Amino acid sequence: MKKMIPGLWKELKKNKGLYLMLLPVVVYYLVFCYYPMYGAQIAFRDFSPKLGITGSPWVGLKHFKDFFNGVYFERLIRNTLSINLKNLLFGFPAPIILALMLNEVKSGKFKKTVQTVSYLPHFISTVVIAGMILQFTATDGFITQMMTIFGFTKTNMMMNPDFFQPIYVISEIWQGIGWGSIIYIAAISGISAELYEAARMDGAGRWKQMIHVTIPGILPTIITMLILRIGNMVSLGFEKIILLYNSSIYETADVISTYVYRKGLLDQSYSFSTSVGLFNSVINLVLLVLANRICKRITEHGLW
Amino acid sequence: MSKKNFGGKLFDVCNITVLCLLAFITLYPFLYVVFASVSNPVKLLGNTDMLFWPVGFTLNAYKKVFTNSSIYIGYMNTIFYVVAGTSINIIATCMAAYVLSRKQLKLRRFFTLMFIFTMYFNGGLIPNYLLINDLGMVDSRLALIIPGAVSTFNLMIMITGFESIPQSLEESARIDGAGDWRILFRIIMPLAKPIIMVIVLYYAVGHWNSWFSAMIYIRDANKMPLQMFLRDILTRSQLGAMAGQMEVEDVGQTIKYATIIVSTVPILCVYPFIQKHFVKGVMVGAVKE
Amino acid sequence: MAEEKKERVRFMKNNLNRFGKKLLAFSLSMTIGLPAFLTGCGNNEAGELSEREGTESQTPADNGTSENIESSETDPAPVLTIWSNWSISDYFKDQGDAYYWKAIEEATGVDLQFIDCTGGKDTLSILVGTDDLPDIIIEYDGNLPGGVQKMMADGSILPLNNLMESGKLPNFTAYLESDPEADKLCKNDDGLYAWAPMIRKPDSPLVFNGNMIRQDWLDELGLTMPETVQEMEDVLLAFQNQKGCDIGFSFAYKNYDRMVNAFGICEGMYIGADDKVHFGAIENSYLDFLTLFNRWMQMGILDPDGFTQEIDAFYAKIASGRTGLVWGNTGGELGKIETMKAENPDMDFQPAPNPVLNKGDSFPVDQSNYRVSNIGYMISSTCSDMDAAARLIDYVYGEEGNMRANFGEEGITYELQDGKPVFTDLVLNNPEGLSIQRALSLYAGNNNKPFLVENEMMLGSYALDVQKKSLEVWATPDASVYKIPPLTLTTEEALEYNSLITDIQTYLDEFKLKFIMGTEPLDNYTQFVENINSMNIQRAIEIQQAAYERYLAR
Repeated sequence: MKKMIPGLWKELKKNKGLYLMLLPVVVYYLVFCYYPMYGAQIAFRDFSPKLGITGSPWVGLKHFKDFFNGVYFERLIRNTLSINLKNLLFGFPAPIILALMLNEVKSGKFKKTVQTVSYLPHFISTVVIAGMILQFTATDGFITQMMTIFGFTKTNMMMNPDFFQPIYVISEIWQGIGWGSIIYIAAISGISAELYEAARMDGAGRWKQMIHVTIPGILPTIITMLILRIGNMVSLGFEKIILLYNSSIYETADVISTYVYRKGLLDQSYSFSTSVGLFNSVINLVLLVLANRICKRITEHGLW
Repeated sequence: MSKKNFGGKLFDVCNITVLCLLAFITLYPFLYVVFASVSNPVKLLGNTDMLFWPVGFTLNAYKKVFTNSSIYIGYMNTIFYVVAGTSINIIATCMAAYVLSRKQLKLRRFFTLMFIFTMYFNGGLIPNYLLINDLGMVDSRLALIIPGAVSTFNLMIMITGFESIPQSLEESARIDGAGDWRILFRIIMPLAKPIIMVIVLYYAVGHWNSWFSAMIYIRDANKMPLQMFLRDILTRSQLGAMAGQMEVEDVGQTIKYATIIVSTVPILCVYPFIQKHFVKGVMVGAVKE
Repeated sequence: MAEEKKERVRFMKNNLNRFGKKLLAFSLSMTIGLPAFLTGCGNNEAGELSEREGTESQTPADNGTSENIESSETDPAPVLTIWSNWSISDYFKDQGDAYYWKAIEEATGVDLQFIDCTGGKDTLSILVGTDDLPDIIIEYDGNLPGGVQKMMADGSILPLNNLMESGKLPNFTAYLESDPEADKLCKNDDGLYAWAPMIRKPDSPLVFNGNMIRQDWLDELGLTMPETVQEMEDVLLAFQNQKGCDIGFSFAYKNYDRMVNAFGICEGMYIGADDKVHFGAIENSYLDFLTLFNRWMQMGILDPDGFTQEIDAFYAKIASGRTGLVWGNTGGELGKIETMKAENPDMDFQPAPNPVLNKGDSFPVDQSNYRVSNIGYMISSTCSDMDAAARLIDYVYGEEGNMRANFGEEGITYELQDGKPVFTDLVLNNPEGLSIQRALSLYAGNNNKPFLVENEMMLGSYALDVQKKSLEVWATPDASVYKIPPLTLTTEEALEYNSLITDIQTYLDEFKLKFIMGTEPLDNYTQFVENINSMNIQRAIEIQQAAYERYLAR
């Protein structure tokens, strides 16, 4: 320890300018992110607003036990992970593929038009999108009718548990593919044209160029986005699911956040929701570290 | 030779077809909202199908929306939050991303981890509110700008972007005697323009769409952003029914859709401006190795 | 090298251009926004200061004509912050500009500063959680974090007893003395009054929803209005076969309770004919209900989307003539249907009598809302001026305030004909096209602010005959089974009950739909009941029973 401090001082002095530049941001994080962390102890207390955070009685792991011992605990975890995994498998590559496809288009106008149109759904409020999905999958909905061509009987798709997760993931892709592709398009445009020149001179066709120039060129961006995504595997926003689900499909649609939301409607327990949030955070962090380690081993790129 | 051409052409045709299909699918929701907003409300009520054209035509919904003063206030507030907020965001994020992308710093990993950690652990709503309260920022516009000054997610992306700029440029600039700030503004930022523009877009849209912070920290209706107003219109009937109101005030459908259009179109127009920065070959001629 | 420098210079220029533009935009916005921002800051400070001292006023006090003012004309009016969850952002930017509030401010000599309520329950829970509530709160019990009783138990709001005993709420206290039934519903088991709620005077109509059926179709097919469940089924079948109606009975937000009630039970907790608490889902009659709906689903006379659809889709089905029997509210749906007549002139929905099992029976489950409604005035524990708050609240329970809250302003929203108030055209036929509810609520209390509701106000505000008729048709005077009255659970009871009921409710909601849809065979009903029992429903019933007994003893 004693050895580290003079080393530390030397480092700070050597790169004084840079560390000074970083200082305001560090202060920001300390004040607005680290200082409020003392509130995490709400998860270990029975919070009462009049008593304040430190005045509320300490109950240790009671809320966590409540959560783990719940009748539906496994189902909630299973559904949350299942939906997130499907999202990862299908939803993560989709914007990348779109960016690559757009890259191959020669007409600038067509490219711009498709790009602009594709991110429109991101801006339409979730409430409206959910309403549309419910309408399309209703008994006479447009999608239900299309499905009858494939031999499915005409019923309300949203009342069939097997359909919920695919519908949810597809709607996420629908809403997010255009918006998500923007970052990859930006990354592609940062690849030096010289590299393409060199590949062409080596006799590479378009396909080979994509594999050997484009994809490696945006790989750091892909890895960063991937690791960050994996670091969110246990979290799933409840708003869209609440708008879409109904009780008959709880077995595939009820996730951690929707359950906590329903419970919160009844008893407004900050402590319970904070403890669930803490649980989520711990798992997410573990996943993040693992993902980073694996990615670095395979591709030498990582978050840190 | 002809084999190559045919393969290439087939690929192009497939590519364009798929893209067209995608464009149509993603365009539909927006078209629906546009058509519905100019439709006759009673006719729209009876429509259970998809909309490929307005049913009946009336601009009444837009008239009602524009005669409501709350929307102008919301607009002014949102524009302020977007411009002021994004400016602060970009300055802070660029500074931090630049420093943390310098591979020679020994404390680089330490600070990066310190920031990443905050993505996962935070105190929750109550301590954050108490902090903002203690700082005197409750019910002040600052509350929507300062607490969100840096998004760690965006910061990580920007670091990745800055890292891809060859170190040799920085070295040669230092040899020329440039200080850190000069390097950041005159070398790094121009070369990382695409990534920076994306982050500008992310922050700007984030501010435009944000309502949660306003809901927690703002008490004065004059400071509310547009999205709060929109949410009010869209969810009024549902929330009322949930709370046990007996007679729920129903906002006409067409007004809901008109409000969506009015509050969404401006931000949609930002992207085309950003697009022109995504030009290939930004690095041309900059590196001579 | 020269090339490189040229590139660099060009890039720098571009960069500065972009940066320069941004800087300009930023500084412009700061100059425009800064004054607004500063005044915002400044206003806030002034507001807080006056709140604490209670003597400064923000707007000049309108100490005019009313005799109710206690402070002298030279004292500035006290300022109270208020949360009143009523959305009029499309009409008035600040709720305080509504004519109703202006009149009350003038009459009571109190200045109200309204907090923006768009955030609803979420914002309120932050305010409660950080002990930062405004002085007065007007809100529905369902929107209060934990409910009004919990807020009082936690100390966030004050019981009104002290104010009542010291004579600061004379009108409210006097009314409760004259109406012991309402009094019982206003206070909790310990005799504490958590709030001053909306109360309907005795003999008010109390049922505001029910089934509605297309009379024009009944006439066309020569059918009589169905009175029993079986008759309903026959009519729906006739609609399907002879009118080609593909969606028989439709509803939204799971409002099919009336059909459950036909079997003499409610789906959840209720008070049975034996005056004890029961849980409907485990009673035998519930199986009869599930069987009925399962059969209707298979026959195709039950709307399969009823359990998922939103209100707009529901209205679309009515407007497009695809359904013949729906559930609806007196004001909401019946009023909406009236507007649909523009496109469908033949459409004639009439209220259908509550379906009974055997002809001639009276409907078993009481549909009445309790006379004390679930919205009220609360005073927060951080209120700076109790007397002013009490004065404000008490006003509407007195004679002058009562007229104002019920009917609005004489000459504008009502006129006296033979000594009785009658609504004017401004309300009933608003020139700007506002609904009756909307027009009235700008001048009066209407449905979203607490006051004493007069019978005439209710009847007068329903313009359509069909609405007035529905109040009678749907009433249930001879019912023997009741919904749970407002009970008070202790904190420990509430914790235990909530943790039990969340999971039970999840299970119930999931499986009832499965039974109805047929994905779960009805033979498994006994297993279903066993499962609920094993989730400790009996303990939940016990808790409610204990609370009910305390309620009876109030």
